Amino acid sequence: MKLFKNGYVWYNSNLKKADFIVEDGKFVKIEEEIVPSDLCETVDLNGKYVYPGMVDPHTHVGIFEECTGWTAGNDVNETSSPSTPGMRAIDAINPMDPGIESARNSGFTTVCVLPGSANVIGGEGVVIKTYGTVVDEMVVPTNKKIIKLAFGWNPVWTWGKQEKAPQTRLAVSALLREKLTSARNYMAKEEKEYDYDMENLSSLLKKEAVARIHVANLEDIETIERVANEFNIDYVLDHATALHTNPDYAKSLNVPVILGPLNVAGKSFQTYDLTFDSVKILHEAGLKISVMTDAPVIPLNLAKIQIWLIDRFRMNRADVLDMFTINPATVLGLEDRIGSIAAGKDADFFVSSGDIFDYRSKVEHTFINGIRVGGEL
Amino acid sequence: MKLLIKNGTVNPVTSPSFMGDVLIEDGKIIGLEQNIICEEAQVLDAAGMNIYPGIIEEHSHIGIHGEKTNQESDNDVNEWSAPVTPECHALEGIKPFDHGFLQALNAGVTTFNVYPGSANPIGGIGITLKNDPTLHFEDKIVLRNSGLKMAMGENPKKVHSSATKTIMTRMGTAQVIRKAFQDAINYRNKKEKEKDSRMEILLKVLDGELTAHVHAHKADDILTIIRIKEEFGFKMCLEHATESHLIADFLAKKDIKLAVGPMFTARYKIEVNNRSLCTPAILEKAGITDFCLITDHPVIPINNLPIEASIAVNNGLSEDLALRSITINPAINLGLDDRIGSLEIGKDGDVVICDRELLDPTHRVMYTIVNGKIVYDMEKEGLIL
Repeated sequence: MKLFKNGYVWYNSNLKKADFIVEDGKFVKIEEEIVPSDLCETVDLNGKYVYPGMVDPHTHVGIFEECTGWTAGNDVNETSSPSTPGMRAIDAINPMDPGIESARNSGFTTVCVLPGSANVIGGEGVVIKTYGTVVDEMVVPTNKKIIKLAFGWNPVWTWGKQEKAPQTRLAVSALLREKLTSARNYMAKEEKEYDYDMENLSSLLKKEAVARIHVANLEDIETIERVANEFNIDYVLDHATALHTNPDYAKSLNVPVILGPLNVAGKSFQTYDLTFDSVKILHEAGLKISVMTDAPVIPLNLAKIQIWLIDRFRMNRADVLDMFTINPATVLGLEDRIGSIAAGKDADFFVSSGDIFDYRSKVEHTFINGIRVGGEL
Repeated sequence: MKLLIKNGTVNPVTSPSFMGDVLIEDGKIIGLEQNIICEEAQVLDAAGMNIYPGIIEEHSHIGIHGEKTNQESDNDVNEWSAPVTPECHALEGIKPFDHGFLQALNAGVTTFNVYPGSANPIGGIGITLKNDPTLHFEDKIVLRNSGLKMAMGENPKKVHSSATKTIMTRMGTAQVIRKAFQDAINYRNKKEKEKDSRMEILLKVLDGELTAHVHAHKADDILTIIRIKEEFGFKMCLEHATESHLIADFLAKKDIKLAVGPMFTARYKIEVNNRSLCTPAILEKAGITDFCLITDHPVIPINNLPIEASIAVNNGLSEDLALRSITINPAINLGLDDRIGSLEIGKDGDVVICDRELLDPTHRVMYTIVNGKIVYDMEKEGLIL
């Protein structure tokens, strides 16, 4: 049992002078003043700032490794076929990826690792804590499976240049419909051989999985809505680059939205509508927004730049912090375990020398499950 | 036409900050003190705001790497039909209405330099532009020939080992460069010759009229190009200089300039494995105080240029040098420090006005002013992020 005293702690959407107790990897108590006892080791935080460990709901850390050149550590896209629903990100995650070290040192304690967006059906994602040497021990189990899908330019470009289907957006949705129909047929069969691809697609139809859909342009978002309604599947819009161009429609969809990576120049046609404005517009339209880095697209030690740039809109800073903590935790269905500092939740937090919105601040210590795992010093 | 910026915190960069006013007439700064009175001037109230010289980007591909378009069709960065293309000029590839110009305005970038890419050991000539969207393209040009872009390391090797099969190793890149300059010397020595524009450009580099701006990340690549520079005796600026912190003491003794960055990329390429946010601080400690920071836009967005300076401060760089590295130092590097890079009487009226300090990355650029003309007004145009 450990008592952390005299920190400014971010909880209940406020920064308050508070003390908290951590035991067996969980927060057990947060109060304005907790009197030390002999049972507790006491750590004096000396007025340092304490924030919940940040959560990135969309990364490729571990499967798109940094410092290995372009190919040696790149296992993001299994482009042997445009439909690879049976692939599992966990099978390619290298816990030693320096990108994962960057994550924990910068205060990111939980990340979702997804296959890439080259395939229409990419495979199964997984949520991990950012500390460990055995990936199986880093996994944070989710109630529902996570299945990565992709619409628009990436699958069309990847397969089109090989003169294979999909060559157009028409074939992207046609392929997904065909595969989901096959899964429906598979489910209806009484006698069948176990099929990894069909099992994962069936889990979408049974709502035992959530589709995480890479999408940029508005016409693709509309197609996704159509297909998802036809097959009655749950989905999250990832990137959703153009969604803010029609905020009323965005609201009517009533699905979780993960924006980003935002701190990139608009290099391609797919990112034509890319702007930080999307955060402000969709937030003001009443959507609960999460923000991703797509790491290593933006390495996680530089994620705070997105926080600062969003702050230029002068929104409520509590709402901005939610986009990097409790909102993504909720998208992952893990809001009872991570994403905020509260009794009963995992003791994932970081101690900063100052306010996170102050560029002079440093993450001094990051804790996962109550154990110090890193920091920027 | 006069513009009077009143009651701000003025940071001229090359002299101490003060509370006061800046007066610009016909595009030049003519007043820089407290309580300037000028009845005929347009007045800009900067109370509570911070006033700096316009930011300068020494290394970008704005306009030549077209944005918001299909990747190939508007990308004119690399003419990789041959490894030596000194005759290629960035000017010919720039789309003057490209989105990058607008992003630069919102970032307070008043002058930026555009180079060809790094696929070729000798890639072509760069150009420096003023970022006033109302000017005709020709009138934006500050420096028509801002340097000869060259490249070492992974990029030329990767591109030309497949595209032209002329370079397979770093040894090949070095010899392609040596041979090109030797060809230029041989050309000069020939008594009877037809004019060769490629050779003429290389001779300008050998004569010191044009600086070589050499893409080099790794220490070995940096050392190789310094060796070649000393063999031929040309002026040089290292671009990126990612591993410069590993050989900072050696570089401090050399007569070369440094342009460091982009600091915020993922470490995909092997040659940036040792990229460090501490590089600027380590260079400063080694006594190198004339380096500038660069974004390589669109590699990272141009509005990250002051944020690179902020992050460098967070990792040990002095605030003074951080500001210099995005204003006066890039001006010195481009040989334009008599005109831009600081607020001084007689210099161009290029100003950026922020609501918070420039090094605070949550600042908003409220006004960007080029040649005394307000070219970006946040209240009117909104944030362009």
